[in-house]
Order: sequence, then C-alpha cells, then structure tokens
Amino acid sequence: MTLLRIDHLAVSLRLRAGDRAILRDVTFDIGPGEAVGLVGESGSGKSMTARAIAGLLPSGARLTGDIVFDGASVPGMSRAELRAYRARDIAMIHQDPSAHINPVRTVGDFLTEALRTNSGWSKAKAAARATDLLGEVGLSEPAHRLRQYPHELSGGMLQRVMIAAALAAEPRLLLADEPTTALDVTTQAEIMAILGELRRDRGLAVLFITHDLELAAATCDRTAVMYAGEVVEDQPSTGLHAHPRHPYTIALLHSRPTIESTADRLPAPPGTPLPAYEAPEGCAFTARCPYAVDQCATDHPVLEPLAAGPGRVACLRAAEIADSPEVAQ
Amino acid sequence: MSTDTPGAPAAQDEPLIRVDALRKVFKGRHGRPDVTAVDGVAFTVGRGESLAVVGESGSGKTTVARMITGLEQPTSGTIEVAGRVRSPGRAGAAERRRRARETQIVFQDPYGSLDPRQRVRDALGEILALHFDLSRAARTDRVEELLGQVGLDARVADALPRAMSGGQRQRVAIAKALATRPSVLVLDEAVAALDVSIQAQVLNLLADIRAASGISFLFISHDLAVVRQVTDRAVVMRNGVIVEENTTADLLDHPSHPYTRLLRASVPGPGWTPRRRSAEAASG
Amino acid sequence: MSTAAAVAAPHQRIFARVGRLSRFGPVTTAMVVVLALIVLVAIFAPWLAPRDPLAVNLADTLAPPSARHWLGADNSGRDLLSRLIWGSRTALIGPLLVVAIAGTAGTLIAIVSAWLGGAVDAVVSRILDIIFAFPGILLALVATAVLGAGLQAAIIALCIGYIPYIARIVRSAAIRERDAVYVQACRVQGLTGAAICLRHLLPNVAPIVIAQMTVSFGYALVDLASISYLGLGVQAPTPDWGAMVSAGQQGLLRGNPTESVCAGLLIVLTVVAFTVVGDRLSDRYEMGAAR
Repeated sequence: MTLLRIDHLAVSLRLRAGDRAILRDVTFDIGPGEAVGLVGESGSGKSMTARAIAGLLPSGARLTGDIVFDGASVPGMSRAELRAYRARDIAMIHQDPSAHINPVRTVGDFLTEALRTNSGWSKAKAAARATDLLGEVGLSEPAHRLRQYPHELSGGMLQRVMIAAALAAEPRLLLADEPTTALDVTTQAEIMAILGELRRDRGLAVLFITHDLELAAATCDRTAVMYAGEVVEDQPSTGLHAHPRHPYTIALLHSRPTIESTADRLPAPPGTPLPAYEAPEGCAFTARCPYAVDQCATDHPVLEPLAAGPGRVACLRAAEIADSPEVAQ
Repeated sequence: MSTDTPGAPAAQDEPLIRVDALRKVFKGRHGRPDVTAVDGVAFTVGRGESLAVVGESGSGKTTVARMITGLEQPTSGTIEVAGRVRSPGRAGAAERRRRARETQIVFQDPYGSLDPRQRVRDALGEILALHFDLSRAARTDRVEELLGQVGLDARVADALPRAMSGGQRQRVAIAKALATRPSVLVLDEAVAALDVSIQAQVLNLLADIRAASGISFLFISHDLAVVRQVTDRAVVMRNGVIVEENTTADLLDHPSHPYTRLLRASVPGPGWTPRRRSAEAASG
Repeated sequence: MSTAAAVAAPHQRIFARVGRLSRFGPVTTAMVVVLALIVLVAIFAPWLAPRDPLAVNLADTLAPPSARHWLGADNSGRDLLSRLIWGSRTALIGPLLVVAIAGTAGTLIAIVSAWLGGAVDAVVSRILDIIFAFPGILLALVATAVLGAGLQAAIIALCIGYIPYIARIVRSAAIRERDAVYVQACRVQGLTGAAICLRHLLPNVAPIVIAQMTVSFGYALVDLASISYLGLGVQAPTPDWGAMVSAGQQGLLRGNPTESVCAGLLIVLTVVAFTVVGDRLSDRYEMGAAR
C-alpha cells in the first residue's frame, strides 16, 4: 500500500532560451507512516521534487509523469482540490524557517491562523491547541512563546515552531526540505529526535530531503539518491549504507570523511555534480564514474529491482558491482 | 629579525602562533548588554601543524579566527605570531602587509568570497603586486602556479566568479590566500558550504598543500568528521571558553568533557538514535 | 565564451547590444531610442535647424505653421522648430553638468562615509539629510537671488541639492559591499582602505550610480526648466524649452498654443525617458544584488 507514488516524474521550465530540464526521471513511493530520505547534491532536483509533490511548481513549468497521493493525481487537481490537499493532507518545513514566517506577527498569530481559517476554530480553542503543539515539539513555556516574535527565538526554536505549525492540521505526509541544515549539530539531533517521535506517535509519513546521506540513512526507513534530476538508487536505509549499488551512492558514502578514522586520501569522484539540463544521453554520472564502460555514455539506465533484497538501482553494471565492488580497477 | 628566519634552529621548537588570555567583548548597542564572545582563550599552533577549533554557533570560534587575521581587535590578551607579539590597536599599512604574509583566511561562503567584477587573474595579480616586486611575465607565471597549486586549469584565470562553480570559487579563494605565501592559513568553515564530492576534493587539496608547503592550518569547524580528516590537534569551544583540548584522534575517540561527548553523540551514523534533551536544556 | 566575445567583430558586438536591449521590453527600448534621438538632435542642432533660432522677423509674429515656418513662429517672429532644436542643447547641458558634478561628489562622499563608518558616517549622513530637506529648486531660487539670474547660479545650487539623491542610495549600496566577505579578504591581504574603495567598492556600486544619475537627470531637467520658466534661468534670447513654455503664454492667450505645448511636451518626453531608463537600470542592479 502506498500513500504517495511518484511515477517517472519529469519537470522542465520554459525559459527564453528554450526548455530547461529540472527533473528527468523521478520514481519512488512513500507508504503510510514511512520515512523516506531523498539525498542529492546541489542541483540534483531534490527540492524541486518536493515542490512538485506540494503542487507548487513555478508557473510555466511543464510536468510529465504522475504524482499520486492516496489515489488522486496531484497534477490533475483543480485549484480547490489542490487547496484542500495542501491544507489537510501535506505540510512542509524548510531549511530557513525565518523566511517562512511573518516577522512582524507573533508566534501565536502564526500558529493559530491556519487553525482558525481552515477549521473555523475560536480564538481560545486555537490558542489552546497551539500551546499543546509547542509543548509537543519540546518548547519550554509554550504559553509565553505564543506572545513572542520570530526574532526573539533561536534558529532551533523557530524550526520547532514550524514543525508545530506543520502538525497543526494533522497532515498525513510531511515534506521536510533540509530542515536541519542551517542548525547546529546538537540542535539537529534534537529536531531529528522530535521528528522521529512525532512520526511514530502519529503515523506520519515523512519525505526527508537532505544532502547528508549519513543523516538520511540513520533516520529514514528508506533512502532514495538523486543525481542530475533522476533517482538513481532507492533502498532500505540499512541496505543502502551497507551495500550501496549505484557508483554515485558509493562515491557519496566514501568521499565523506568519517569521525572514526582519518583516511589517507578521500576517494572523491572527479568533476562537479551535473545539473539535469546538462545531462547527456546516457548515464549522467558516466564522466565521474570509475566503473564506466563505453556503453554507459550511450545507453540510458533505468531503475531496476535489485537481484537480491528490496530496492532498485539504475546502473548498467549494477550486477557486476554487487558481485565485486573492486571491478573499478 | 632572526626570530622569523625560516629554518633558524631556535624557531623550530617555538610555536608559530601563541595565543594567550584572549578576550573579546562586543559592546551592546541600543541598550543591549555587552557580549563576551571570547573569554580567556589560550592555545598554540606549531609550524606545519593543523589545529582545529571546534564549536557551534555562538562558541566564539569565528571571533578567534577574525582576531588572528586582524579583522577584529582583541579586547585584551596577546596574539604572538612567529615570535612577534602583535601590538594592540589599528596597524599601519606596512604592518598590515607584513601580517598578510603571516596569516591568511578562507571563508565559508564560496559565492561571497570573490569580487563579482574581478577576473581571477586580476584578483591574484592585485595581491601579488601588493606584496612582491615581480615583472609582468613573472606575475603571469605565478598566477598560473597558484592556480595549479589549487588544481585549477590556467584557463580559469580569465573567468569571472559568476562563470565558476562553488568548488572552483573556493579553490580560487584558497589560491588568493596562498598568494602572499603565508605561514598560517585560517580556514573558517571553508568546506562547510560545499557539496559532498567537492568537499572531499577540497579536503584532499588542503592535505596536499600542507604536505607540499609545510603551512600551518587553523581549522575552524563544527564538523567533527572533517576535523578528524585534516587536523592533528583540536580545541573545543563553548560560550567563548575552551572546554577541552587534545590530539584530534584522542579527543574524538575518548571525549572527556560532557559537551564534547554531546557533540560526538550528535553526529549521525549507522545505528544512531537522536535523543531529546529536557525542554529546559533545549530552549537554552 | 569570453574569448569568443573578445574576437567578435565590432558590428557583431553592436548587434549583440541591440539584441540585449530588446529584452528590456518595448517601453524601455522605445525610451532608449527617444533619448538617443534627443541627444543626436542636440549634437547636430546647427545642421538640423532650418533657420537661425535668434533671427527676429516681426512680420512673422505668431505666424501659424507654413512651408516657411514648419511649426510657426513665436511672438518675435523667430522660427519655432529651430528654437526647439537649439533648445535641446540648453535642456541637456544643464542637467548634464548637475548630474556629472553631483554624481561624482555624491559617490565620493558616499563611499568614503560608508568605508570609514562610525562618527564620520553619522555626521555625513546628518548633513545629507539636512540638504535633502531643501528641495533643489528652492536652493536654486535662493542662489539666483544671491548670485543673479542665469543658468550658472542655478546649476551650482542644483549640484549641491542633488548630492543627497545620489549619495544616500550609493551609501547603502557601498555599505552592503563593504560588509561583503570578499572585502574582508582584501583587508586580510593587506590592501589599504583607499585601494579597496577604488578598486572594489567603486566598480561594484557603479551600476547604481549610473542608474541614479539617469533618474536625477530627468529631475534636474525639470528643475532647470522651471527656473527658466520663472525667468531666472536661461535668459532671452537664448532658446530654452522652459523659457519657451513661459514665452508661449502670450500665444496661448491669442489662440496659438504651439510654442508652449511643443516645448512642454519635449520636456515631459525627455524626463519620462530618463526616468524609465533609470528605473530599469536600478531594477537590474537590484536583481544582480539579490542573486
């Protein structure tokens, strides 16, 4: 059973210079109550995927493929349906909470506004609910916080307010776009702990977008890796971490230094991440891939189920790499 | 004069940087109270050594970096570089140029670190002209040498920053810092904003530069894994104070201060379960 | 890419410029063309004007448009078209001086003030605020009262009056640049404040200076035309649009509005063109800064 299914999603923006691909082939799904990590470097299209799910693509964007939430196609929704879907079914939190909260209104105004307009609640009832929510996300003195302004709160506290606001409507899917990237590591651990608890208590599904593969692997049930506007691998997190199948996932895992030891040299892939619109005909990672053969430059790999265990990978040489990861030499 | 002669026997054992009782108080404006950003910090950096200053936002680690590079004046305390104590107060032009040949800095933001209207060649040439008496041809050679040192093609010399990727810009920022041939490079979260694969490339590059030139690093970072990769020794700062100091390996393998242990436990990895602290501690 | 641009033939570069211009949209493009035409008319006035703008011929007093006088003649029988064409010179030269002088002084003051900061910046800002409180036209009227009527007094006064318009905007742009990371890197590299201001701050605030000067040009033109209209600026018989609006009032009363209307329309058209182009330039700068 799936809550959200993304099927060969491709998005391009119409620019004066012609169409520019942002997403080329994104396929993955999220079950009810499941946490899925979406990992990629800058320009891989992970944030645009979240915007597409929320029906928030920029005007002039062209979409092919499908996004199906609980049986309903998001691109096919009318304006009213889309509004109801955003108000009830999904919620979003962002990297920079201060950019998504009105600086001249109090935290209480911010939290109660949606409750009062969407649910028609009285001021007192909404305020009581907001106080409960702030308590749930671990803010001390919640009643006092309601009267404070955004600038009086630290980044970590503000992100907690955003989570509280996201939860107010009891959504079924939370889109979390790099929610801890701008925070300190100890605060990140707090926020992840809170998200984990809320998810378990409420059966909330989460799409956790991050550049940090370790963080996704440690906190999500499943992790999908994106490169140049495509999902190239999708595995249960433990499997992905222990047995990455796609050369790009392998590169991401190995090029990150570890806290346990000092590497003589980090095995960094050469070159820079490729934006989707510069992707070549074949596999976009070919130029940086130590496993690449001639065929990689011409044949476009598609996501195929792994030979052993759950998960999918888009690589022509996946089977060989799985058998012996040393084939690069 | 003899104290900073390279290779002088006496200089070998002397630390390159010695910081003592360093303190910085920012005056509170608009009726707000004064803020003590750095409070009695002391450490040394040896020749060729790489020292990490680890901390979170508000720890004072960046203020330490800014004082060592002359961007902030210490409220009190001493900074001694290559056997010379830096006199307090604003330095004159000649003194600032001399200090520029001792300490240089690379900042976090690869997008703001370069003048948007200056080509790479001119950015490097401007520094070279200020510090060295080079002929045109020699300056061109040195620009290409610097670009090679940071792993950039000589063709990049004619590019404007907007035509470059974040990783390329950060390499140019490193080349600019190396142009004065400093003995200490301060890296203020210099790889924090880079993509994972680019970060690895730059970390390898930094290791190469240190191996080839014997330059010292003062590596300001919140990222313990990165710190493990590029530093020999580390100090942990919290609220303007150093709470723990050790070799990097020992500090991370056997953290003794509770705060260091908390930092260590906050790093995600396999089997990591983040735990919520009490509401009181969280909001503090 | 940059090498390709460098070796392109000059005419190709001009085409590229025109191509870029068309991206501004039709209104801005039209206004750029208007400005170019006005400047060309001013430069080539002696060749374009059909008659001597100063030649009095009382027989033609307030003559209607004819083959002899395409737009008719004024109340001294001087050819209106020729006077309008020559008038473009006085219309442009005054604002040009004002904008050049106020622009240079304002930019200098703004950058130095932004760089030094602290007490210097506070004092400079207050002085600018005080000047800003007086409309330029008021300063100009006082100056003509003290120094006597004529363009010279008005221009000197407007130069001072326009400094805050440039300086205030350039100062905030310069402060933004001053706090940029690359400027801090320059300081660590041992560059002097003067070198940083000249080689880094100035080129980076130049686009906003040019945009602001363009907008101010239009305002200065209105101010100078107003002063001439009041009879305190350009003195007869020198042709000037502002003075012509005023002189044409006699014709207006006698049912011949050509002089006032034509001169007035030219003023409006020129000012609108400068304002539109200037706004567009500063929009572009803001977009660049936001990037």
